[in-house]
Amino acid sequence: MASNLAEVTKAIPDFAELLEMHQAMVFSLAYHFLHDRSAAEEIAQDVFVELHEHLGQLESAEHVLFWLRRVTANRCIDAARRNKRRAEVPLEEISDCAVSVGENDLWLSERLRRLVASLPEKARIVVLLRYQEDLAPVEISKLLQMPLNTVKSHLQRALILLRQKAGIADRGKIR
Amino acid sequence: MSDQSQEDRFKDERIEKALRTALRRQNPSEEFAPRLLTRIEKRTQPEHTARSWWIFPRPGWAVAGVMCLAITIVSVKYEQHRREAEGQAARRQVLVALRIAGAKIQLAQSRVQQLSQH
Repeated sequence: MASNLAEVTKAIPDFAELLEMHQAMVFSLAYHFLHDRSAAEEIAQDVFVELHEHLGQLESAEHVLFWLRRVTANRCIDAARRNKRRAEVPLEEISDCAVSVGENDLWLSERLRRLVASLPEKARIVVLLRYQEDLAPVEISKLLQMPLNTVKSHLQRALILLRQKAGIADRGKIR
Repeated sequence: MSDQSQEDRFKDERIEKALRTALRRQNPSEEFAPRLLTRIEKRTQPEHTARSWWIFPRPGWAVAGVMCLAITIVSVKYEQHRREAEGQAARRQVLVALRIAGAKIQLAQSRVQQLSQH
């Protein structure tokens, strides 16, 4: 197995390095989008297989990164649309919560991840690109081929909803 | 700037900070990379194997083919021979049966003649 891997890695120059560099980014986008590790790994696998096929057409490291983010975003949206039949809880139906600051940050993070995964698809990918990948709205706009104002309004509405549902309200407190 | 807008900005900063924490990158499982590389290796193999099998059959395949052919011929010949032998045996049995039947008929005829003379 180890020799096989070594041979493949040798036969695909730079691919193993790209995989090492970007696997966490691709996997995390899919995981935070779907909130399902197994489905996220499948999407990430498909994205890297596609990258392997298109590697010759990509011109630079930045191009690879841009391409990976775009393809992952599109695949995530497609997967979410295919899985519409799965029981999803719309964000509006999730009740507000009350917890003290610092009482349980892990709990808040998990709740936020769940809330993000319940956002509408376009808003969800915008939020992920903004807060996971730290992209500026103008970069998100280029990546998703979406008007800048639409990106901004998705972000604004998502923030308001998340703030309400996560219970972040008062200064220094989470109600 | 009013208190309300200051408050909103503060809330946005807090939720943004919490989101950045919650949405930190995570690594996939340890099997992810080996599984991916194996999958890519498998995708690149079949075309080559299928083509080379016809153009350059390996010696092992040739030997296996010849042996299969030889076994088939021997089986067919053996089956023919077995059927012929069975046919001959059946023929012999029929002849013996006919001879016995003929002898019995002759015996019966001679008995009938003896009875009619008396």
